[in-house]
Amino acid sequence: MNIGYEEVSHTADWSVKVWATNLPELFSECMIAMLQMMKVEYLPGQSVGQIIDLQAPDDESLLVAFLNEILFMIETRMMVPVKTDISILGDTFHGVFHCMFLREMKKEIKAVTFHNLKIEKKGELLEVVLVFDV
Amino acid sequence: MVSFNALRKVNEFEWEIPRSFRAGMHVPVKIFASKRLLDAAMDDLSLEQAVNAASLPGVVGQVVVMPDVHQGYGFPIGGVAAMRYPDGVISPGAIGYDINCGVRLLASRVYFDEAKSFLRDLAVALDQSCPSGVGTKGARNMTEKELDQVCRQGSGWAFKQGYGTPQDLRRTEGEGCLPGADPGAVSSRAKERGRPQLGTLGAGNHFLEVDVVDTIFDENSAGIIGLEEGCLVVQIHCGSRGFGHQICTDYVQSFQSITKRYGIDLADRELVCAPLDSPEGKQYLSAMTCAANYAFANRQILAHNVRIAFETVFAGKVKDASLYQIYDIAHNMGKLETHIIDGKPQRVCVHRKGATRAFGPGSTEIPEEFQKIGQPVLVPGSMGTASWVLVGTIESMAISFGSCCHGAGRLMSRNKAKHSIRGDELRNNLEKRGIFVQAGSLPGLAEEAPQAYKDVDAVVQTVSEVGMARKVARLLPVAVIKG
Repeated sequence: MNIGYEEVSHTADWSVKVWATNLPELFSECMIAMLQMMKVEYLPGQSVGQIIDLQAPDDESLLVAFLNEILFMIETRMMVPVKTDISILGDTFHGVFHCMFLREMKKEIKAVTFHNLKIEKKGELLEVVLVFDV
Repeated sequence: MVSFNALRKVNEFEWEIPRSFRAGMHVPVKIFASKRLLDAAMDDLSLEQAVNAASLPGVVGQVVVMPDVHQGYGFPIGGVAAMRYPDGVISPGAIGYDINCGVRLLASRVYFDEAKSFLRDLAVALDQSCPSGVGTKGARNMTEKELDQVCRQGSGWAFKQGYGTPQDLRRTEGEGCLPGADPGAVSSRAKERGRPQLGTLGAGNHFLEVDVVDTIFDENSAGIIGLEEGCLVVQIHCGSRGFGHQICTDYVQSFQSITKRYGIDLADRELVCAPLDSPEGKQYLSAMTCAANYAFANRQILAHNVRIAFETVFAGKVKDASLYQIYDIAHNMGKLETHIIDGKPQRVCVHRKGATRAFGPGSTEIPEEFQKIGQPVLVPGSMGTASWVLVGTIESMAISFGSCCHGAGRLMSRNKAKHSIRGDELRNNLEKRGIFVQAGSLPGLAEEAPQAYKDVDAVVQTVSEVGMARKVARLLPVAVIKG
């Protein structure tokens, strides 16, 4: 599979390995993995558009900032992104998100960490291992 | 990974990773563990993370690893490191996202024998009185002005609102209010997350637990502390909620570039840091203090609600249904303290992550009645197992910067726990043993199963053997409330 994720064993927290063919896909798949781990469910209805613009010194910082932005959006705006259009140019991130309103999330993630975080090229794919504080 | 060959055995309960293990280490790592607990620690990255901590600028003495250690992110959970003040560093990731996660213990004169018919009612009442679970909100949304007051006053703010007693404040680490809080150092995002969450338990490993005092090991200390064999006590375990999580998130993110600017090389980016005397270091310390005070106020409000539930359930059924505070201690915190290092008093910022303060007899920073015996150290177990009340010692001041273990320590990953343990079976088994369980999520309950943790009695035996703390009382659970 050119895109996907799998849970990695971690004693205290949650960890997930994510891979994709390019950076925007990798970011999007990381978000999907995170939402799956939180067991997020949304209400039926019309989606609401959200735009996220971020700047950070490197890809890893951008990724953590993006995922923490999603956590903040879910907790405070009760919005769950269901469709994404992400572009990354140098140190800037631009994302357009179609969001639904949160019905329930069963698990809480306190934060996305930088622990041993490195986006690496593995053959034709990009790969990253994330650790979430839970 | 750190191999067994890299360790120097000091005695049955002490091991050392010398400075020579890796270039860049400023101090050795001292591990307090039996061989069995050490083996468990070597199954994950705990010791490697301790080596990384021993390489932080300005770290002094030794990095201390507790017997309940397990792998965290950046810094091991169950780790203590002291950074020289003012030129050493402060690291948000080495304190953790749940700033001032801690434990409060309330005690009663209600005997288990007279209470046992009402324990299910008590579990339900506690569950209803303390909002818990993922994304829970408190009774009201504070204004920004009120939140700023909480940041500056901590438990004192809650007391002024009618939550608690003067003894609660006196018997809280730092009297429930650390100096130096500056709400201006806290982002609007953290404030937005913090305003609705005060007075909530949260989810994950946070809990309320009703225990019975099963065994007293030190009658004199138990009497001074206020524990009586056969009586019920209540533990509250939680922290600074989304407020603290966001403060840590903000500073770990912003320190990514600052660390480079100060020319600091790190083995792990989660350990980003800034000198304590730098504008950024001072700003983080002020923001962290806000979260610490928020957490003290949070546990103060929860304690008030616990009291109401407890007194309501036992009203007219027992002679005295009141709950009084034993102590409240933090186990994720950075604090400026003075310790004797290399024979001289030195001001340091002690980073305790998954480790509690354990000041010994004679310390002027603990309540007067504890100054002859040392401060109470609260070591919660793992739902179906014992919890412990210990006291700090003179030795803890000498060997661990006045610190001790904070719990049993995880052994099994959450992933493995949820795949090998069923929440409903676990609840049934606990109830068969007379432990009532109120849980918001059964998979969440499975992740926190006793089997997923180390043997807390072995952990406590280790800290007792090395003299880091003295045993006072062993508690056994009778009701557990989890978010």
